[in-house]
Amino acid sequence: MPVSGLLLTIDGACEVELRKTLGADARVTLGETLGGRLVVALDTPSQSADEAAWAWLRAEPGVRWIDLVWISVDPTEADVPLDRPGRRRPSQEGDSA
Amino acid sequence: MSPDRRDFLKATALAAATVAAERMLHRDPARGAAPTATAAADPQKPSGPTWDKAPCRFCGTGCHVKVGVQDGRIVAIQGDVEAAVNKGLLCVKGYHVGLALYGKDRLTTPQLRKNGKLVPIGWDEALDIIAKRILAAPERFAFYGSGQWTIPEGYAAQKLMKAGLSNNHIEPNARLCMASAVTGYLSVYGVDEPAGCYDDLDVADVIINWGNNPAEMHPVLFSRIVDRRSRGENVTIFDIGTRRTRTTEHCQHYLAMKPNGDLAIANGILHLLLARDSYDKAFVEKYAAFRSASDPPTLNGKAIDFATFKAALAPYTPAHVEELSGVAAKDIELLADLFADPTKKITSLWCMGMNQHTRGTAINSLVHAVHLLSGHFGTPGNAPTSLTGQPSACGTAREVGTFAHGLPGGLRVDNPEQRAEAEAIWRVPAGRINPAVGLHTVAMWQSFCTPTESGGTIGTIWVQVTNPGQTLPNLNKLFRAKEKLEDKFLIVSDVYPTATTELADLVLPSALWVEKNGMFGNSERRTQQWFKMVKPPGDARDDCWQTIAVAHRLLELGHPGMKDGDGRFLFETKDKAGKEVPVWQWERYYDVNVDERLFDEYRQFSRFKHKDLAPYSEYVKTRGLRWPVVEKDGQWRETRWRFSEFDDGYVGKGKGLQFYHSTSKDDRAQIWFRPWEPPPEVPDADYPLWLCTGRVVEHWHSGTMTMRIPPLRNAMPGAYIEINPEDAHALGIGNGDRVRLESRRGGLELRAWLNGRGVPERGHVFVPFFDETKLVNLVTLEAHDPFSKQPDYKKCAVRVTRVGP
Repeated sequence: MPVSGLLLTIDGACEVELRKTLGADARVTLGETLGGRLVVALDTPSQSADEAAWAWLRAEPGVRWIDLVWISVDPTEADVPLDRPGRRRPSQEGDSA
Repeated sequence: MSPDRRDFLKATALAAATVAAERMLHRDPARGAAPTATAAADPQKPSGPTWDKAPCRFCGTGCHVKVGVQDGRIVAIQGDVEAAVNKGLLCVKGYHVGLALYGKDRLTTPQLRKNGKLVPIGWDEALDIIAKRILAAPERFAFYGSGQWTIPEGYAAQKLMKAGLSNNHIEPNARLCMASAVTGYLSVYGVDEPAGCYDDLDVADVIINWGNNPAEMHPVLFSRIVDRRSRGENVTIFDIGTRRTRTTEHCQHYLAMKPNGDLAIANGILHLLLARDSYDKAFVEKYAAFRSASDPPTLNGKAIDFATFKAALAPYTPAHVEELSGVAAKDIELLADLFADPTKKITSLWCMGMNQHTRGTAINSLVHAVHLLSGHFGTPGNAPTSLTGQPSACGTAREVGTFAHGLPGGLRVDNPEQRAEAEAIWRVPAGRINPAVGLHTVAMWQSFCTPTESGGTIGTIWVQVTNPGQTLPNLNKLFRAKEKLEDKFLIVSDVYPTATTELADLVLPSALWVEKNGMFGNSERRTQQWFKMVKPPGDARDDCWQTIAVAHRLLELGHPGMKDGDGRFLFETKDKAGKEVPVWQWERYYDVNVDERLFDEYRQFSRFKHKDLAPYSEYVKTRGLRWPVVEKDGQWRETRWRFSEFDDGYVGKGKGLQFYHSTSKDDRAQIWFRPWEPPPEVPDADYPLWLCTGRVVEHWHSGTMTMRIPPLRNAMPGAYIEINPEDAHALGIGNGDRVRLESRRGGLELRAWLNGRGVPERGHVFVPFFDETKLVNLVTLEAHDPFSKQPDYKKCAVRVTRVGP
């Protein structure tokens, strides 16, 4: 369930249309435009949906570049330790072709 | 997740992004620090965090961050607006770098393996074990570090080995990442590291990425390039590679090539420049000479004349190059046309694609050749520039010279005059430095993993700041084979348990990043400094202290090499009153600034190859300085463009350009002929696909730190295999299916990702290496470049079969 903080470097001439398009999408929350960068929060249900949303954003006319500056962290997941004992999975144990 | 929680996260995401944008406008964000590093900042506390500067701990870009500390803990990270490298921006790893210190499983006490299990021991016992192990067989000891060693850490390790133990078996894992860039620069200019700098990215008309994905690997630099388009500037970007990536999407030209096709492409450009008579004759006449391979092969090769050079390139017609590389003849012509245009400013960028290559030295020297033959060199925007993956691959590995052949400052152990220079600075007796080049990384680990009775001469390896159990190629052969060799002893200093500590006999807990003083050197020759800001956890201690403490224990045990020619301890450190400080005692280590003392000794080496460094105190004041840093009228001035008269004080008046370390001793750079050659392993009926390995934006290298940063781990929790959708269809593999990846060396299971972040060309697959639960280096090949000894992680033959849903 990724929530990302993004900076979209945009073509200023496209800003009005871009805000209209992005603002109409439920996944997107728009912030200010500062120095040619549009602040966006992107909320998607899965990693693959997040990748698809990135592809959509990148393809939007006027979007030059996307900087990812923040990713959500769910505190219920934050404290999950790495699975040390299981690090070597059976498929890797002494594995050689 | 509850709606309230989700709304909170979205608001936080907006706030973080807004703060980042405001910082790039050089505005002080009203909301204070970006709530990105940790959520622990307490705005109610009247004192608030204290702030200090540091370079980011991750890649070789060298972004500066501001670190907010409160109650002894990092509570916030900001992009540093005063830093010329990143101008306030960070990538997602940089914004979260503070969390790298706070994984739940930090190593906090030394541990010794007893009866198969690691059990806690004290530091004194640990130091005794190491020192006695070395003393018993100093020639069988090896030190393996990385470009994550700070400059003083690498210098201390280098001095212990070469000035103390007369042992040259010291290597950085940088051998695995940029050694071919080094041999490329040395063979062309006679001295290592780029002549240009990041300022080139602000003015180049054309950027050519040679097997490079900066959108994920160096996102702040790529953002800097693409950002120019939003200001109405026209920047043409090329992507030459075997896989469509996030970089490709911002390029006007994607040139899909066959593995090793880069050799043909560069030769094709050279051929056309000559055939069309469109090379820069004036530049070549004044500044260049020609070279080709010698017999026997040497890094400097043999001189050839222009006619021989031209004749050698005659076969590389566009049609032939298309056949060899898979890139259309018209695209070769397009590149040649651009290089033929003197009004275009062209910068080439590369990283692992050209370096992790069994012909890495060749392709590096060919890209330099294209720039030199066309005259696209030495003015802002015209530069062939390699990028590094580690924060101090340049500063420590390349400049301190922590290689089996190296001495600080670009000197070599197999050069008698240079050994004498080093012995004089180190004040050790003549002859102390061993003249024999030590074992390079692959040979070192192969020796360690070979039974002693079968000639495996390395018996003990001490690993600091790297994770070879995950990053060496062909892990079954070069790492895991150690498990069955009872007389071999592996010491690992690290901050977390890793695939390497899993086989370690002794594990030492280390301080990380701003838990210690440090200095790094980034990809553009910029040396950076920071101070310790928080305490390391438990009994974790600085790597540099560990090295000095072992040296002192060796001194106590009577090793003669631990004394200099005057009978003083090699790491003798005095306070300002001239009184010796026992820095080998941890409780006294920070009584003086050991980094400053070591750096100011080390910088004496920097003058030999005109890589002059300023005094330590100058770096305290700045966000880094690019060497050579030269004093004039009491001011220390950095150099942006090396070898160019307008900026480099070492270039003679009226020279224009001067390659003052020229291998032909005439101030000229070398334009090489290097033929196309086939890859070391080619797909066949049994293993019909090409495997390329690499990285992802969320994780840094083997993931030891970033997989412990929850936002990054959640965003990219595991490795996967990218398969071309048409290949997947033919193999009956769907998105998310479990597949088995195998080579002649090993195999593993992964989930398939089709049309995901990257899309390989038909016949190719890609796997990132950050995931310690899915070790793709069980599969890779240890074949390496004959000069750089850097292995090829970018191409080997594999097969993929569907295992299940």
